[in-house]
Amino acid sequence: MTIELIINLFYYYYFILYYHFLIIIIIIIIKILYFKSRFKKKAPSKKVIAKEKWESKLANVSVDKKDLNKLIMNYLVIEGYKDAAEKFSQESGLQPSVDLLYIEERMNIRNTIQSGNIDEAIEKVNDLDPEILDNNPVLYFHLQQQKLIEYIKQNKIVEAIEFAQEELAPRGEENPEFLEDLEQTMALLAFDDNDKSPVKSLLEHSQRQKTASELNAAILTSQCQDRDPRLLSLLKLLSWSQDQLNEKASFPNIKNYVTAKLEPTNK
Amino acid sequence: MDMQSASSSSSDLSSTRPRIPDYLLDTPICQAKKKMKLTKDQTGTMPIQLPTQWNPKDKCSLLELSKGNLRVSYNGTGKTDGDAAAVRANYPMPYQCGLFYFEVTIINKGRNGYIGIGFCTASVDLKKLPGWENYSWGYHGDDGHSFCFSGTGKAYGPTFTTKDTIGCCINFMDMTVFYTKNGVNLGIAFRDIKNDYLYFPAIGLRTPGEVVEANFGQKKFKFDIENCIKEEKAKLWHYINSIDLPIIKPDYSNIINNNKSSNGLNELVLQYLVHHGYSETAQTFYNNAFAKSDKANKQKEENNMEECDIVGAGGLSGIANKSNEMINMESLKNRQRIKDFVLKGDIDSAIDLTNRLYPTVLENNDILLFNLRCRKFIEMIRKNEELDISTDTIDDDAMDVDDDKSKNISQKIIETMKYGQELQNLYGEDERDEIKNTLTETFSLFAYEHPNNSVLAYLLEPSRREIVANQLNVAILESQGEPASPAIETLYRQSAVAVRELVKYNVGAAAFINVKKDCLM
Repeated sequence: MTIELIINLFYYYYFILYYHFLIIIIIIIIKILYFKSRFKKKAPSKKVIAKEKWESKLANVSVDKKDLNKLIMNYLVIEGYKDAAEKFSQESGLQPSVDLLYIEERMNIRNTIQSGNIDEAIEKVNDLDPEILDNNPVLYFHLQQQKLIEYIKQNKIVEAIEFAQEELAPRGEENPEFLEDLEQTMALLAFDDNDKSPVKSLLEHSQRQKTASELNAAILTSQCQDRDPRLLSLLKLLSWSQDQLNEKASFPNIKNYVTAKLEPTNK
Repeated sequence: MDMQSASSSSSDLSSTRPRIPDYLLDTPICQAKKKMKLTKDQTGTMPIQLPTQWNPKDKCSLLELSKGNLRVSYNGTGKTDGDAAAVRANYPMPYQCGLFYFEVTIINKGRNGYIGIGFCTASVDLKKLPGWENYSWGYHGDDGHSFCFSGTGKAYGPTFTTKDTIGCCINFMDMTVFYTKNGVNLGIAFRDIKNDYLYFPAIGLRTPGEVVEANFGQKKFKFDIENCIKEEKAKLWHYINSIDLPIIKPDYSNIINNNKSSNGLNELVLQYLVHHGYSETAQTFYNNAFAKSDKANKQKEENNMEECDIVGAGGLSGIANKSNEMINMESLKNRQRIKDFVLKGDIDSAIDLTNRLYPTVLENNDILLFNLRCRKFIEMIRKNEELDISTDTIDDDAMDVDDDKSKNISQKIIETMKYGQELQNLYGEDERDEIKNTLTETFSLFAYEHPNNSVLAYLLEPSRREIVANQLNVAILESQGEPASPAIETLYRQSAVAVRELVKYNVGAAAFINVKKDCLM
């Protein structure tokens, strides 16, 4: 019996050793596979386009200076640099795409909002084209909201509440989004110290700018112009196309758009 | 349209030069075809081909082709599924199309109308209907089901029969497929099609009497595919325009609280204006876009900045120090003066001023100097020509004056000849192609009594001055260590090349983008 037991124990011992050995082999195999897979990930290497080759491709693109001038003119017009657009028209001989008077009016309206005179701005927009506000209820509400904010800024609390109840609340019933905006604005009244208010950003200059940009875009659309300058689209296209191509190949990127310097190709 | 389709269907298949369907005119397909009309592509691949007809060499023997290989008729017994027969088009659908669309009209539904319309890879068995095999997709007329890698379909659309026109569209942007019936979109049938294979339009018939005819874009489609492309394009641009640009600030705008131009657009525009010497615009633009925020900034950090006054160069160079010398007002003014001389045709003054201000530029750049001298020669001929014309129109009464003038002219002509000889002496021996060709071209002007009416008249055009003016501008900028082209131009080139490369890598979305049309026009 005891001898048998001892033999059995030996068996068990070898058994355990045997498994131990197996496990080590399995671990080694796993490790090999792991390294192989890591190696493989590197192996289907992306095509590398050398800087010289890329540069010759760049040189092959035909660019007409007149087209680039148009891009600049478009920027000056859309962004409202009227004087610069005028000068540019003289110096480059390029006709602006719209009457430059429009720019002045548009910029005028923009400045009126940025200085907080909402009623005046609304009047001016309606002088320009009454359909702009008629066709954009959201924009009109945001202008009214801005007016409410201006009341609160000037501490005209009674006027603010009256205005909110008479003008804004009925519209809030029509549209839940309006109601939310209205509630947020009215929350401004709940705090004595506006710095502690969670909606204090409404009181900042950036809120005026936001409203002004929205109105500006609506005016541009009403005049059949692009909302954003083409130059911005070009940069966004550049960003998109470089990202897409980086997935397929290594090539010299442009990361700093202002210097437009080619970065060396990553390998 | 009628003429075109008639000619393409009458000519035999070996010599057909089918035109590109209208809806593809804006895609890289069209651009590639123009470029590679005669030669092979540089990489050695053949020009991009479009499917234009069914391929008589790539069909099941039970099918018969007619009408310029567009019509397919079934000739088998049609007893079992084993008697199904399919045919592929002559070329795969290129990814460079962005999307590819073709229509098939059912001429006769035959006994059962077991007709499958779809697409497959080159290796799929043609004894099956499209959709039954792996890498094969189809929409079947008898039950309106869509089939994908399987003998059992999924309910998809209506059934179709004699006189119906079914369209099939692969969208390479999102790798989806939709069908149309009689010009109405039936919605997406297949998604997630792999983009590492090439797919051929395919059609399969299975019972006697079935006849169908395809339209690969040589005739007008029932479905408004062009509008569909417009929508896809708008979708893509909407997406691209929603991308947030990485905020790139030149060193100095970190300290300027300028909410609006944080993505560097103003800097780019200013640099462009400065580069090309639009000095008035540059000043005005600087005043409006930068000076305000500058002033606000100055008040904050009075010690750091000196007085920023645009009228002198101080303001700009003050900024320039912080923006890696983005602007050099003095160089800008000088370059504009030189450019104005060239644009006026006063080459001598331009050369003089250049030599005075930038003595090394022309010394190191003999081709530029040569071009300027040639331009001077051309300007002399121009002037003679003008004088000549003005004397031609003078009345007889003024004979004396006329005499004086014609003397003057002959003197001018001699001067011009002399200058021409000088040029010949200086450059006649030069072996460089650029110089040789330009010289021959320029001298040929002398062969005509009235160069203005000759084939070389374009050389005399004042607009040609701009070419030399730009060369000179770039040479001066380079001598100052400035880049040869403004950043905006480089950015444009970079996008154009990146999009072109994406097309090569079968990224379908890139086919919807035409950088020049979409961004510049």
